[in-house]
Amino acid sequence: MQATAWAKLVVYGRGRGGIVRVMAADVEERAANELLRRANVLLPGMYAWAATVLYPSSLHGASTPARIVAGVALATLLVGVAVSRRRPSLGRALALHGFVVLCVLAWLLLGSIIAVDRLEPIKAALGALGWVLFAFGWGGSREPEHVPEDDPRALPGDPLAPRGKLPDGAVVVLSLAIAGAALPLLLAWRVTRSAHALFAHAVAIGCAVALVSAGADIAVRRGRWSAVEPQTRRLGQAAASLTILAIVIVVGALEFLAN
Amino acid sequence: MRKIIDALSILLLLGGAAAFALGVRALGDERDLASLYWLVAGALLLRSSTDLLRPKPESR
Repeated sequence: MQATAWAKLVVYGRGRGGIVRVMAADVEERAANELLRRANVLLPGMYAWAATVLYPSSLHGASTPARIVAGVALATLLVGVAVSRRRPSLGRALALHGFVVLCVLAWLLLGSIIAVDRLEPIKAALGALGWVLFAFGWGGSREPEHVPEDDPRALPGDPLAPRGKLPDGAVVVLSLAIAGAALPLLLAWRVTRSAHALFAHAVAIGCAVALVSAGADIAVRRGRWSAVEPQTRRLGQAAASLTILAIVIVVGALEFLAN
Repeated sequence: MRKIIDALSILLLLGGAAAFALGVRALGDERDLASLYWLVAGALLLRSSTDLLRPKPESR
C-alpha cells in the first residue's frame, strides 16, 4: 500500500497541488477499504447472531443467563470491530474468538429450546449461511495489481517452480470423485427418522471428505508412482485391504443369496 | 500392466462412491445392518484404491 502511494506521488504529483490531491485520494481509498472490511465482519456477524442467538433467546422459556450472555456476545462483536483498526489482535480476539465462544455459551444455556426437533429448518439454514458469511468476512483476498513478493516483509528466495505436470486424466478422476461425493450428501436428505437423520448427514460428510481425499490422491499420485517396478508390487501392497474387501463381498453375497 | 492397475484403482474409487451412496440410502430405508455393511465396504474399497498407488519405502 505504501509503495503504491509513493508511486502515485512520483507519477502524478508533478503539478501544483498534485501531491495533495493524490494523498487525499489515498486516504479516502484506505478509509473505504477499512469500512468495507468492518462491514464484511459486522453485517454477517450481526445477522448470524440475530438468526441463531437472539431469536431463540427471545422465545418464552429462555433463561436470564442465556439472554445476558447473548447480549454480551453482541457487545463483544461491536467492540471488537470498533477497536480492530487500532489494535488488530485485540479486535480479532474479541470480535472472532470472544463472540463465537459467547454464542456457543448462549446456546448451551438455552438448552432444549434449540433442540433439533424444535428447530425451524429454513431459519436454521439461513442462520448457518450467516455464520458462513461471517467466517468469509474474516478472510482476505489479494488486492488487484498487488504482488505479494513486493512486500518488504516477504522473505527472499528462489522462485518455487512446479516439479512436474499433472498426470493425464487427473481432472477427470477428481471430477468423478467429487460427483461421487455429492451422492451420499444428497441421499442423506432422504433419511426421515430424526435421530438417524443427523447421523446420516455426519456420515455423508465423512464419506464425501474421504472420497474427495482419495480421488485427489489417485488423480495426482497415479503418475508419480507409475514407475514402480515390477507393477505387481502395487497389487502386493494392497493385498491385505483387497483380501478383507473380498471377504466382505463374499459375506454380503452369501447373505443376499440366503435371503 | 500399469494401465490395468491404474484403471483398477479408479474402479475401486468409483465402487467406494457407489457403496457409500448405497449405505446412506439404506439408512434412509431403515435397513441399518445393510447400511453398516455398505459403509464398511465403501471404506475398504477406498483403502484398496489408494493402497494400489502407494509404494512402501524400501527396507534398508
